Amino acid sequence: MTAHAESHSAHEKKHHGAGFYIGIWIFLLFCTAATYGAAQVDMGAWNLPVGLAIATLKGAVVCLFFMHLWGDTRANQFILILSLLFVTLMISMTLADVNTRFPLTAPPNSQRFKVNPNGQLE
Amino acid sequence: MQTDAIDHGHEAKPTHLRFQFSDSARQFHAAKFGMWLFLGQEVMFFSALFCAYAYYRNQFPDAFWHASQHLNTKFGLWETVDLLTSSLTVALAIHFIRQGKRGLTSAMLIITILCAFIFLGMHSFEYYTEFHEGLLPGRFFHPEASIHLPPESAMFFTCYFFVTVLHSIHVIIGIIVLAIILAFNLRGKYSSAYYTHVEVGGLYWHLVDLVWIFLFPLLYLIT
Amino acid sequence: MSLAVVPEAAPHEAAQEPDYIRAKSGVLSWLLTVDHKRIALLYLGTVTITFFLGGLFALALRTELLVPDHGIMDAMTYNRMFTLHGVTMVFFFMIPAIPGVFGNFFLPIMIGAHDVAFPRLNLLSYYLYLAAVILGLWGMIHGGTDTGWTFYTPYSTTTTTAVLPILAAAFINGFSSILTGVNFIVTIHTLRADGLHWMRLPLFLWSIYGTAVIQVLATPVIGITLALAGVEHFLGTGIFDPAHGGDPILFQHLFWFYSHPAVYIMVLPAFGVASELVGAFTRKPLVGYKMIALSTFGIAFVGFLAWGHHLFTSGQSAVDAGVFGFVSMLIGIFTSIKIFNWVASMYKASIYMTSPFLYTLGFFFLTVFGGMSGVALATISLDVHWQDTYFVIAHFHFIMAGGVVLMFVGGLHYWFPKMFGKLYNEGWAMVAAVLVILGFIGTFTPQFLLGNEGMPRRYYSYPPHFQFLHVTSTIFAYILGMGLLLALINLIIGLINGPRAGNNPWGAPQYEWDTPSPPPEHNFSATPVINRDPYEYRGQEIIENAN
Repeated sequence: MTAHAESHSAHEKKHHGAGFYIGIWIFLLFCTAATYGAAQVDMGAWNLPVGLAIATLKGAVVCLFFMHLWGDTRANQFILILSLLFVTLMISMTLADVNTRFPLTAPPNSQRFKVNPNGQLE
Repeated sequence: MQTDAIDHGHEAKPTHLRFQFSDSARQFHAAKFGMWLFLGQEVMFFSALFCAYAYYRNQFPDAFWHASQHLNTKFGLWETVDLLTSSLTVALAIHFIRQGKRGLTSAMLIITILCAFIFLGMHSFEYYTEFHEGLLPGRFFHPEASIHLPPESAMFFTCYFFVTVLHSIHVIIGIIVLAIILAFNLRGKYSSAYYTHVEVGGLYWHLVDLVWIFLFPLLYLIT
Repeated sequence: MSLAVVPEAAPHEAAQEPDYIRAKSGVLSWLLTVDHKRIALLYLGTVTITFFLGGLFALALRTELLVPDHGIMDAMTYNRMFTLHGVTMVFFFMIPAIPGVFGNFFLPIMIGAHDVAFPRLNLLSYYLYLAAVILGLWGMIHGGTDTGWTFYTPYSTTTTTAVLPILAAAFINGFSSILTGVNFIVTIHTLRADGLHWMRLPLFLWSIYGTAVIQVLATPVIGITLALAGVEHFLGTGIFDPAHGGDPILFQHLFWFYSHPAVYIMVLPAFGVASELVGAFTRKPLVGYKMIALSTFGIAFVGFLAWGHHLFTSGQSAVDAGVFGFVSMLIGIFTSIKIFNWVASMYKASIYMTSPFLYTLGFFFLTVFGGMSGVALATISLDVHWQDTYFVIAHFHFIMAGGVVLMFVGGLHYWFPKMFGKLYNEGWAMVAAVLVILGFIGTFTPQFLLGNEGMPRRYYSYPPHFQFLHVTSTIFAYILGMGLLLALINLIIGLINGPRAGNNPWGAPQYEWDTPSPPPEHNFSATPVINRDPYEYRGQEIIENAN
């Protein structure tokens, strides 16, 4: 491989224009407004998943387009997915622990510690 | 010289090519892969704090909601917009250096660093306010008289301070990294053939933005 | 020829090129080196010191346990002894040793590369490790800490002992580990020579790769956890303090999320060394290459899922405990795959009995029993009885000491001729190996019995009817120490006075034995092309030792 060919090997992919990145940015600003707007609406227990879903969408867009993961090597894509998998594992198992413990072991002001006026566990 | 003992062939080697790599493309790919692995570890680094946050929000949902009301949501929104903009400018910096436009690259890097300082400034103001209102972690939680918060809200502020301070430390590291890249660019180190540092530094900066994308709804927009 | 030279390259005579030890001289050429082989020796020097330091702490506490009550130290000192033994061994020896020494030395050579992908980052990894060791020593001089190496809250956040320097040392050590992991993964992906496709990778490198993945993804979690504990100790922020709504069990979840995969950081490289030793001393190709390689990832992945088995008796919910118990047993499947393949490789083989292979046999025995005791401990109903007793200590020492240490020492003997170009005295090495293996078995088997009878771990005093087992354990601990010392002295004498080693004194088939002993600075004069499998014998002969 000659030096000339080397310097262009990294550029064989078609690259987006500057306008593409600005377009992504506008989409991200729109999503931010949507997150803020969704938080003003009371959807009960759905507020958290909706907020996280929009955040995940924004994060995915940043990864895929600003960080060039779209069309990148499989190895780079895999690292991110694997770490997110382990984060999900960590959080879900620890939450499962607190949520399935005997309720009276929870702190007195916590959601799980519920005792009715007769002093019985709810 | 180190490369004397190795025979890579008889063409002239680019000055940035290190002896252990046979060609530039491989070296560039290795640098990106290495940075992605480092970002994977950064994700895990923050994950423990997200875990603590989830753990305690799950236990004290009402207290967390009450506490979140006392954060400056408008500031949080502008901080989000600011970081998203900085992500755009750093992506554009990479875009321009790929085309060899060093001047525009420097301009984009300067704007990115400026956005980072704006973020830190706004966040410092938030901390200052919270300090004065007594909304601090753990045993320092002494809300002033006009603020009525249940005692469990202290845990919200513990999580809030830990994760935002860690995030701000990463912003500061990012500023240093970007400043070094800017300095190198001004000295003409990068070109359309070699811009690895810019790409890899940009990846790091995007992570800083990514973490904030998740922090904003989780801390400021609890309903 | 196994490693063919690229045709158009000028044939450099490797013999004319000075080896990596003689290539450059001067202290700075060693302290500021970016040569992976020299960095490996820097690690070797430091881990030898930390290993013997950790061993001294162990002998001190075992000596105290000769008598049921006050022996040579008081209770507070005893608590510091076992804490510092754990901290030194886990963070400053077990985690860095095999990857830092043999991974660094042999990874580039085995893949036909001139160095790792990021040589300067490699040097930084070493200096971060050294900084951690120095900070840890500083903490020890200031009295160390008595929290146990697990730093459980609330004690670690309220103790007045020097816990902060030790926490900081472990934190910095974590970054050394992470950067090494990044370096190794990128190296294996991007610097493999032509012809070295994945299924030709030496098995040692498969395990280094699996280890590196765990290093990168798990270590940051303990970094932040120890930082949280440190900040809580320093500022009283209350994230683990029930008085402020915190939960000490959260610390345990976060701590063990790393520390369980960490044991695989320690043991997977040992499994890798075992594969190499079996490949070399059975004089026939390894059975089940693909299964051994892929089971590495089984262990690495499932290892991330099992951390809650350390929390069985801590107050974790029964649901979680059940899940973690079940998953913990699955790891045994992947480990067994390796053991069965190694044993099958020895079946009808022409065994060349040497000291490295003796260490390997000891390794099989101790790791199998250690592993089986692990599956037993994963049974919650049994663990309720055994948790925090000597049974657990025996379990992990069988694997950590009996597995990892034996493979570190065995690997050091095996690769000694390649690294230093000298031969050591095999006779004395065999004697040392026997002492070491018998020493291990004698030290830790009584501890299984002690634990099963209810002797708690980390206890300074005990009822007199346990004394016989404690004394037995201590006597064999001294035998073990003497064996290790003998092995070290023998190697040092070999280094100074030993006969010159040829390229391949063991007659082993793997790639690294085709390079000179010691290798030249950049490993190869021209980029190699690899056209054979790593365990394929081509009639290499064993060169009998001069002595």
